[in-house]
Amino acid sequence: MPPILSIKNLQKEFFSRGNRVLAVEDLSLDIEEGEFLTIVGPSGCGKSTLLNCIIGLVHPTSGVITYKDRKLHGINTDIGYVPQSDYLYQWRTLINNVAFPLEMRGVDQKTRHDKARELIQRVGLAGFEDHYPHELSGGMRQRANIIRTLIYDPEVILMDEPFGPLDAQTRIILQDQLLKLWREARKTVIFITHDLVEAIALADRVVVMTSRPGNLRSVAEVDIPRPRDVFTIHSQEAFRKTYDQLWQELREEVQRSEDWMKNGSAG
Amino acid sequence: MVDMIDKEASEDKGSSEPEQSAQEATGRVRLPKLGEILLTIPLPGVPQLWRGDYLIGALLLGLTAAGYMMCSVTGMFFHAIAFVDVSITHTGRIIKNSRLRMFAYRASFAIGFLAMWELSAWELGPKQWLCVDPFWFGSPLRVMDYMVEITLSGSLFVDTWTTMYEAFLGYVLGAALGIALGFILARLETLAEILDPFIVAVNGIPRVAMAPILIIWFGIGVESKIVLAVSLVLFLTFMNTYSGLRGVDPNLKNLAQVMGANEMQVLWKVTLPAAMPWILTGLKIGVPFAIIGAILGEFMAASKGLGFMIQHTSNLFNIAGSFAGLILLMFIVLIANAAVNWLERYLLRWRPKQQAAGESATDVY
Repeated sequence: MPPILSIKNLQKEFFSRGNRVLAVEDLSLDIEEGEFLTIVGPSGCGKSTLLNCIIGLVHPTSGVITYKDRKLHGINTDIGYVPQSDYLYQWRTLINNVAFPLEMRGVDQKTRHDKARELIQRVGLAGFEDHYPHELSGGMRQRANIIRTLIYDPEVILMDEPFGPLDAQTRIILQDQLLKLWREARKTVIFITHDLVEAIALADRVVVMTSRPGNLRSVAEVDIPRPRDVFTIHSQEAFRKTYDQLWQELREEVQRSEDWMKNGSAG
Repeated sequence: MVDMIDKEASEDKGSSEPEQSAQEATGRVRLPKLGEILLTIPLPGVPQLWRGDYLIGALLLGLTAAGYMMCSVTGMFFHAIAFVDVSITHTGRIIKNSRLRMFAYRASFAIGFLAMWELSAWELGPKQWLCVDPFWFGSPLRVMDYMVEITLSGSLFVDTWTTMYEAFLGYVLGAALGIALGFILARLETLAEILDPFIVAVNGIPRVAMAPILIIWFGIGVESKIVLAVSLVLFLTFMNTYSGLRGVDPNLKNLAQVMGANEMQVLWKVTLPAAMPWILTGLKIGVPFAIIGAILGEFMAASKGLGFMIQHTSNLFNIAGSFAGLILLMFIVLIANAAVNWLERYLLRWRPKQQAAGESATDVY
């Protein structure tokens, strides 16, 4: 089966104060349909740039991204995006935030509200439909942020550290919920995180990126059977093995990134 | 027991002290002023106030007494404060509903103030007893008399309507143009950059200086007043709309596009509501300026309107008439403000409470 998303020789450079900064260099990656792929890497390694290129918010300097054998050009609404901080619309109630993508597609109010209500219920936010975002906790907003993308059924969902700003307990609960939602919907998910435990617990494959300029350091299959229990997964032998192996690689990259930043500031 | 002593003490102080010191000060016996007589009336709240807060009670009584010695107006001012203070001590116990209580405080302040103003204008004997000569300062009853007079003659309605019409039309046109211009220039960045110094320069012209030309161009009818109001409101709403639109987080717009919104949907469903707090701030501070524009034009040249009426009456030394005009203006502004506040509360009902919108520069007149 051909990959649903294929990245070939992706390169992206920025200009910052007259300096050329290479964010992503010659990166190639195939993503299979229905797989859960997580990407870890030191901060500033171009993970978010990679996602922005896939969504179409940023144009690659060179390289090609194909989606279902079509070359991607601009924003593709088949690809959903869950940003790091919840960009919920403050002036919309929870249910209207969740139903926003359907509203944009011209779905009538009853249908879209029914669908939104069902998703809201599934992530345990029932009763908060008519609350405004500022009346919800961080964890609640992040759940809304995720189901807002799920509601319009994009084929591929990109998540940029969606649980980053949350506390440890909420993170684990949301990871569990995300796995359940994914199991039911079987979407292709690309999930960025800086937390290796999270990356392994969720993923079919874990990609470790190098420090800047971003490229693939290694790709590891995670041989832990599903359905997984994120609450106890850490104690499994397979998890530990994968973790130790990936941590070795990640640590080198983090170290290099640190050195690079020190040298960068000195020079 | 304690109660009674307090009562005696306070009444004592209230009646004897000002008289004594007044005698010492002037060195001759004279009739007490009206306020001094008022102060001897045992106010029912004073004992409680006295007992509850000795310092403030003593201070207020002392200030009232001293105020009457210097000038009946100052005395009445402090008397009014004491009156409100007393009514607060009373109503605080009787009225439990906090909103109703606040209303009672405000009403008692207004009534107290008006009563003092009216009383100070009473002529009980020779005029020089009192510092407030109603010829210069009017009095509430005189103002009311004049109001009744112009209501019957019909000029109250004509003048009020004219000013409201000018201000309202100026406001609506100015706001519509300002918001539209804000949207256009927020979209066309280069044009905005080209026009920026010119906009600042034109907005910097004092409107009083512009008024004569506008009257030559647009005549002494309502048109010149409407244009003046537009010239004030337009820039306020434009600047707020423009900076509001430019300040919208681009991530919000990008995300909407990713979720399937087209350009028009992004504009209406994301950019506009996100900029709404700033647009409303512009609309809010525009309200008094619309009225300033209308009145300014009427001062220059007009045959009707509240600005015309105020100038006309003051030329005739009809102070009560001028006050009547000011009071009518005050009511127009209050009503217009209430309407805009209601609009803001409705449109921004999603905001957490007590979050003020970004205020912007308002000094343009």
